Amino acid sequence: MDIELLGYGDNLKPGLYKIHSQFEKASNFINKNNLISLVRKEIGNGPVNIVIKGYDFSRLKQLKILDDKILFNKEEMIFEKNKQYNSSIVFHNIDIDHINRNLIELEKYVIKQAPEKSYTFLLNLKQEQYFKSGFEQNLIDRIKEAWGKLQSNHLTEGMKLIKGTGYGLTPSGDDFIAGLLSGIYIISQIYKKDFSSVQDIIYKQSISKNILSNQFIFFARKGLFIEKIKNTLNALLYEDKQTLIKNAGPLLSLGATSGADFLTGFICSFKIKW
Amino acid sequence: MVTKGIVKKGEYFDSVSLMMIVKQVNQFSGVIDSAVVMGTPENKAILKSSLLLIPQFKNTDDTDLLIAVKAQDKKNVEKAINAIDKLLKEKTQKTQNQEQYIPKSFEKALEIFPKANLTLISVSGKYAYQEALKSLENNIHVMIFSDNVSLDHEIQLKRYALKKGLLVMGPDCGTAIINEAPLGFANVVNKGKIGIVAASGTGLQEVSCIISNKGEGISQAIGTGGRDVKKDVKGMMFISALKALNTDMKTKIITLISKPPHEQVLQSIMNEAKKIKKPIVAVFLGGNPRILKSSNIIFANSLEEAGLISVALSKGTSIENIRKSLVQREQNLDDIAKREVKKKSASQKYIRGLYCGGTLCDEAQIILKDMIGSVYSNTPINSKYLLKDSLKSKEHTIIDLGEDEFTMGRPHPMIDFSLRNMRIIQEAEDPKTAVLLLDIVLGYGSNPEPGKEITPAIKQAFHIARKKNRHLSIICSITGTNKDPQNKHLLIQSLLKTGVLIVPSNASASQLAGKIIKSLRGS
Repeated sequence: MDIELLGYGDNLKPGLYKIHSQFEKASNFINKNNLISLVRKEIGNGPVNIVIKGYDFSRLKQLKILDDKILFNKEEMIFEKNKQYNSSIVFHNIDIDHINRNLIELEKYVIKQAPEKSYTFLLNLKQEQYFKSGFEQNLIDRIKEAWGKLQSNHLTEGMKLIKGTGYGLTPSGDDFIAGLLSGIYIISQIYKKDFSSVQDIIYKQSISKNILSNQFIFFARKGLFIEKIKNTLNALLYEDKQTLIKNAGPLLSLGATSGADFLTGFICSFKIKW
Repeated sequence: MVTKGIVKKGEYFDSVSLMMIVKQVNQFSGVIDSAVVMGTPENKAILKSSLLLIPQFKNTDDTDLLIAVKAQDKKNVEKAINAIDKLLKEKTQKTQNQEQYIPKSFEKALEIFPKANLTLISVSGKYAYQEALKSLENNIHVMIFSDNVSLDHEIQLKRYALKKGLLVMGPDCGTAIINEAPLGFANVVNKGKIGIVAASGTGLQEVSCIISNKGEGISQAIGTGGRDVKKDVKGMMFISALKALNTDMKTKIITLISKPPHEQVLQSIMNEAKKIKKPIVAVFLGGNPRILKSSNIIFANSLEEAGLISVALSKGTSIENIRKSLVQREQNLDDIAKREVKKKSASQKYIRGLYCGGTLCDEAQIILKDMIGSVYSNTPINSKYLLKDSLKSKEHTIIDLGEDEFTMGRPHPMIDFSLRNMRIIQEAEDPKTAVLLLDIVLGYGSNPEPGKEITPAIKQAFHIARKKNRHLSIICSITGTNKDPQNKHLLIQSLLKTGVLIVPSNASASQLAGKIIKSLRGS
């Protein structure tokens, strides 16, 4: 099978990248604080994703990004303009009522489908029953306290309680924050309001040594999204319920709970008076 | 109590693997508490308040994986820690193993295994057509586990397969047994002389298990996908499979399973059946026996009856006796129903069925319709009874939790019980719930520990009802054999201990549920 570049992100920074972490369908490479990901088609596009077909990159240890191409081992792949992924959302003909109706459906769907140990207990108390161990009960107490702080606009305290918490390579708390920031971004666009000071506070409190989390949160702050998130948000803004659910499904199945935590944070952002 | 931990530095494990480990750790014997988390300051704060922060965690950071276990004694804690470490090492080994080559394409797979004569396809529906076509072009039969394959594509594939004398099982074919090889969600059944053609996955499982549990066995079990017997697909594979079983030396009796085929398809099936000397039994769920009046096919009213009649034919015993014994058994259910009704409170009046098998859900609705009238469902047999919100039951409700609306982004309920467990509690909290009707499907691919997974929810359901002076009847049928990977005997014992009413088939479970409601109405 021939190697093919299927898509590349619009936020790739040139440089020499060394291997950071490798998984079955994705390999992450790092250059100082910049991360890029080589991924399979199933993972999809993203601001710093390069989607490749026909090449086993599980053994690749480094690669080089130039302005117009990517180099690895003996391969060279040119960045064709028509394959660049646009990670931002276009806002036009906003119908607030439609969005609100879709939000209700999205929340119902997330509650119905969320994995047990996601932070969706913030939307559905019944989910707390799945947090059984001593550690888990302390965890949910902390998160509930964090949520209380956020609702009363004690942002710094809320962030300190929630960031870095929970299960997963990107901890649930960080995914929640990415969802929260994404929601604030969408709110600012559809209501044409400036929430940059709020976003700044949240963002500054969220940064950690986990570069994967940092990147997710960084792009959420800027309103730049991976394909699964962008599809869901576009459907929320412009499409009918069926299309919304169809797109939210793949997002919800991201990671063990990452997708659900992100969507919970996103939905929660609409429940706060910023 | 002893607390121990390990740190994994510089190693990255995907979240799904970590979550699986979390789930397993808590089930180790003697474990009181545990955590498998990244070493962020915040997680360490929670570990500290949970008394799981051990000294070696102090100099870790966000990128380190911390594993902490608190157990009753040193022996149990070390056993748990060693098991987790082993799981993580295996995961690392699997990623690093350069020797193990897993082909990433059909072409590469065929290169490695040129003698393959069947491809099982389980990719996203929009890609399944191409992969299936490649197989057929290479003269290889196909089983398409994937759903969301378009009707046009299905028809094209099956027409092409017919020309080449090949089978296309599916799309949305979850189960088959070909030359004793179980495919998809299949059970471990006896080898034997009964061949099955099924446009129904859990229908095939229920019938094959009943046959095996009665001491007979399966020669072949061919799935066709549910759409095959509808007007557009014209039963192409159903009839092709019927022909194949006719010429199969191991098959002496043929059993057909589906919902009622389109009338033209049914006529084609009957025409084909006329050419076959082997006895043929058919269960067309919800169909009228008169539809087979002029054929040589023996009609069965339920999946169970189809299985038992097939067994009778195989053993050379009386079919009439089978029918009589089923009628007698149904009458015996009256006593159980009356006992259950005596304990009910005035508010309790409805059945709530929570199914993971689509055909079993359909069969329950069909049986209950004749007994108590139509029931609401997310997959109703009468469209007037479609639930507006499948998260909320209305009156008598039977839900298929395997439908797309519940399985998008999560495993099938035959594998992951969590959604159903939540719903069991929800229905138990409803004062109007009189009966909970459940199916548990064993076999390859299904949840490996169904008893462990479902028993806590069932216990809680009983407890909720008891607290409010209500008596909940929980009726469960188990589709499976004693040879299945799950321990069926232990499962039955653990469910019986909780107070669940275990019955031998989905048909009898539905009948018992119906009888309880009828008795309630009578009283």
